[in-house]
Order: sequence, then C-alpha cells, then structure tokens
Amino acid sequence: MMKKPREEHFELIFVGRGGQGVVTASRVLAEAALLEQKFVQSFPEFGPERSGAPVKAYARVASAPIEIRAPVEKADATVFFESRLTQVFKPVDITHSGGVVVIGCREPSKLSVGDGLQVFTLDAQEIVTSLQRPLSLNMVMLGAVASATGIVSLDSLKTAVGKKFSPVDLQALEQGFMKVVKHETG
Amino acid sequence: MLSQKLLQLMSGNDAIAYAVMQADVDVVAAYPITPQTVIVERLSEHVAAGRLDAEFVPVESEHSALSVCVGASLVGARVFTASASQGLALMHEMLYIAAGLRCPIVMAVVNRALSAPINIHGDHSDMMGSRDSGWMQIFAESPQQAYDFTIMAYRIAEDRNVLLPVAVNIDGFTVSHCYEGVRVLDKDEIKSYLPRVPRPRLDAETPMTVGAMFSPDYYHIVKTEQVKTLQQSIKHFKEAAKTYPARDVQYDVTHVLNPGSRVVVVGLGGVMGTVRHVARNMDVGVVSVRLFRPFPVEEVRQQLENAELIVAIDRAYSPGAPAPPLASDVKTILQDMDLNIPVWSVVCGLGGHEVRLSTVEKLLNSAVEAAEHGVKTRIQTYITEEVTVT
Repeated sequence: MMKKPREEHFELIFVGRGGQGVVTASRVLAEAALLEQKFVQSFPEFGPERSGAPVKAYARVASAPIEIRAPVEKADATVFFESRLTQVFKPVDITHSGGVVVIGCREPSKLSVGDGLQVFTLDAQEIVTSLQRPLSLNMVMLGAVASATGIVSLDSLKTAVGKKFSPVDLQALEQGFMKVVKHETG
Repeated sequence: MLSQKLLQLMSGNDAIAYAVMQADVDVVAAYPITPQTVIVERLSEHVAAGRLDAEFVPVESEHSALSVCVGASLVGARVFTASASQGLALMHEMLYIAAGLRCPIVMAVVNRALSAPINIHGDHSDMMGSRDSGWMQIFAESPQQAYDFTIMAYRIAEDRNVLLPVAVNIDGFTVSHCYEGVRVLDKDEIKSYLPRVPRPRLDAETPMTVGAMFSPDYYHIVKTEQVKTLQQSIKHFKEAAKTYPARDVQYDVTHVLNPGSRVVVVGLGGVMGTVRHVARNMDVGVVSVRLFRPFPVEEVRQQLENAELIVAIDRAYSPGAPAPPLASDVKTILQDMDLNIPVWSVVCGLGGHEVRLSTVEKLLNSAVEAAEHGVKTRIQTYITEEVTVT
C-alpha cells in the first residue's frame, strides 16, 4: 500500500473505451468500499454508448454521506485503461495536484504525464493476454488502483468480484494489485 | 449496526423496483422509456422469478399503462407504474382521471426533458407539465430516498383520508443511474408499515358507478373536495415520514440546511445535494423541497421570512409565465406574507446539462456578495458554467 487517501472524501475518474468495462470497474470499486461500511457513489459520464469511444466513469468514497450529484471535475485518483487515452483527457486536467494517476501502459519510459502527480503504471494488456481474457482489463485496473491508493482493500474487492465474476477475473484483479509500480520520471 | 444484507449497492431505478417488490404490489402496468427502463426490467424479473406475486401487464403505450392501473386500483389492487418524459406526456389525460377517481396509484417518474429537440437526459419539464393534474408529487434526491419515498408513497396514497395518486420523482440519470449504498427494510417492517387497508372499491356483489358525468352544479363540489384533500395530505406525508421504520433518517416535507442565513436557496431534486455540499461552509441556507404538491407553504415560509436574498432553482421553464414553476410558488408565498425580498430565479440543468460544483460555487458566492451589498435586483436567468448574475 503506497498511499493513504488524503481525505475521507475521495474521488476517482476511470478513463477507458466503451466496452472495456469502465463503468463496471467504478461500480465494483463502490461495492467493495460499501462492504467496508463507507459511503459510496458510482456513475458513468452520461451520453451515447459507443463501443471503442473514450468513456469516463466516476466514483466517490467517503466517511460521511455523499450529497454531490455532479461529475468529478478533478479527481484524487484517475485510472487510464490505456496510455493513449492520456492524450484525450490530460491527467493534469482531471487530477488534483499531488493526486494518483494509474496508467495501463506497455512502455512507461515513453510516458509524459506532467508534473506534480504520483504516476503508477502496469502492463495491463500483457496480464490479460497471459490470462487469455481481454475482458478482464477492468479487473486488472481495479487491482492496480486499489494498490496505488489504498482506498479499498484487496480483500473487499475480491469479495465484490467473487460474487458476480469468474475466477479468472479474481486472478486479473490480484495480478493488477501486485504488478502496478510507481513510475519514476526523469 | 445494520446487517450487511440490508445494505446494498443500488441505482435509483434499482431502488425503486426493489421497493415496489417489497411493497408486494398486485399489478404492474408500465411501458419502458429511457431513463426509466431499468425499473420496468427489474420488476418483470422480480415477477418472472417469483419474488413478486403480481400481474405484470406489458402494455402497448403509457396511456394504456395508466388506464390499466386505474382499473386495477378501482377494484382494490395495489398498483404501480413508472414513466418519464414523452411517456408521461402520453399519460396526460389519464393523470387527471386517476386523481379525480381517487385511485391510490404510485408512479415513479424518472424526470427527463421533453422533445423537441429530442433529448433523453434529465430535467423537470415532464413533471411540471403534469403539475396541476392533482397528484401528490414527491422529489427524491438519492437512491436511498427513491427507495424510502416509494415505500412511503403507498402508505400515504392508501390512507383512507387521502386516496390520491402519488408520483415519486427522481432525476433522470443523475439519480436513476447513479449507484449508492441503499439500506432496505426487512419484510416484516414493510408488512406492518404497509397494511392492507380496505377501501371503497368496485365489486360485482355491490355494484356502484364511478366516473359518471357530473353537471356544472356538482362538478365543482367534487373538484373542490379533491383539492382540499390534496392540500390536507401534507399531514399524512408527515405521519408517513414520522412512522417510517428507517433508523437513521427523519424525513419531512422539506430539508433545511443552515436555517436563518442571509441567503436562502430553494429547489427540488438531486441538484440540491450539490448545493448543500457547497453551502455547508457558507452563510447560505438551503431548503430542499421534498414534497412539491401539495406545496409545504408554511414550512417554506418559515425559512424565507428572514432572508435578504432568495435563490429559487428550477430545472424547467414555464414558457411565457412571469416566472418558472418553483420561483412562481416562492414569489406567491412572499406576496402572501407581504414580504418584499428579492428573488433570483435560476433555471439550470435542462436536458441533462451538467450542474457542476464549480458552477454552484460561483452562483452562491455571487449571491452572498450581492446580499452583503444590499441587493435589490431581481434576476431571471439560465445558468451555465460561466455564471453571469449581475
């Protein structure tokens, strides 16, 4: 666990493509945090559903009731399902200064994310390829964000995932949790 | 601490369908429409799986949906329907009939904009178009409230002193498709909260006529009686709120934050949560209206009388009217109180237009600043991200 959430009101933005399970990832994170008796909120960016198009989903985890009913403008943690999407939504534009950015990325040395962010990377595609399950990409990213932020425990995530998803999804989740690493800029 | 199984992650739509299942309704007649569809899907699943022993009538239109509900309600059944936007518009003539025939129907309205231009996203135009149909109108701001108010709605509607249809409104998408933790009641709690109360009903053994023609000498009597009953139903809402078996909330016709503030914001629906989040650390009062019809005049009056500036937030226009719907109600109350407090009438969030935290911050800061300088200006504006109120 590399970072404690800095406040009891923690906001996340998941960025991926339509069909990658971005909305599901946000919902499973909320379900896991609910198991820890936290107040949670999960909702997608509302608009037409288009397979392959960039999509966002939001999640809030708090120790007090959540009243806001507006999208997250700048998050405490952002999760990019693939590195190319950092060109569509710039991490510095949608992440608080000092916040966490988790990026599914094959070549982290080529990343240029901007200053003032804690960047974490993992080769999520390599994990789902080795598991022969491309649809588990969202589980890999969930595991990674849990590890990078500590906002929810791996155990709670496993319980939430175990209820509705397959054993391979659990493996994807665990591998994401274990393989994410802090990205050293320079 | 509640048992974990009573705390579930649900969207606003899920929460309503779950409440309807637990309310053990006898008849569901509904036609799916975005953003209400999930309610109808879930209920058909509950019926198919045997979790709900109800007649599910897959009607061919919303006009038929409410017609089925009226007929079923008149023979004594507990009934449910749900709609939104164009669907609610298609129900329009039946809305008045349901109210006039005193049918205790509960309907979820997942508030959505009306065409043209086509838009599937949230605002309150649909319900405001049905505002005067004689239904009780409740606004829920969250999946939890959507659940609680749906259960409460049956208690109020079926009260022998009410017998009126009740609409439970939730914002399209921002509440209907938003997932949050919802604490549900257990079966026994619901059963004792929603007893089956016998009421006058159509019965072949003791024939009677309902909905007959009334001449000008009598029609006004029935209508005036109906309106009085609607006005008095406010106390039945309060009773239903007070006796509601939820543990950690006490609902009322309004929710008030920071009473006695110089600036008071009044509004309906989910956007008020965002307003409260911002106003918590400011000298700004927030009155969230939970029961819109009948309007809680006394409760709102008490919160307004000492304000120096009132901001009335609507998510609908009333085209050609002197003010949008909620602002009109607020101004009427002020006039009746002989009060000359300036009102900023703000329309926002039309057709799903996001009302951002930063937008609300700018609005409230402008209002506080204006109040400090002894504002006299009345404003009517549509608010965008830029927030220009001068």
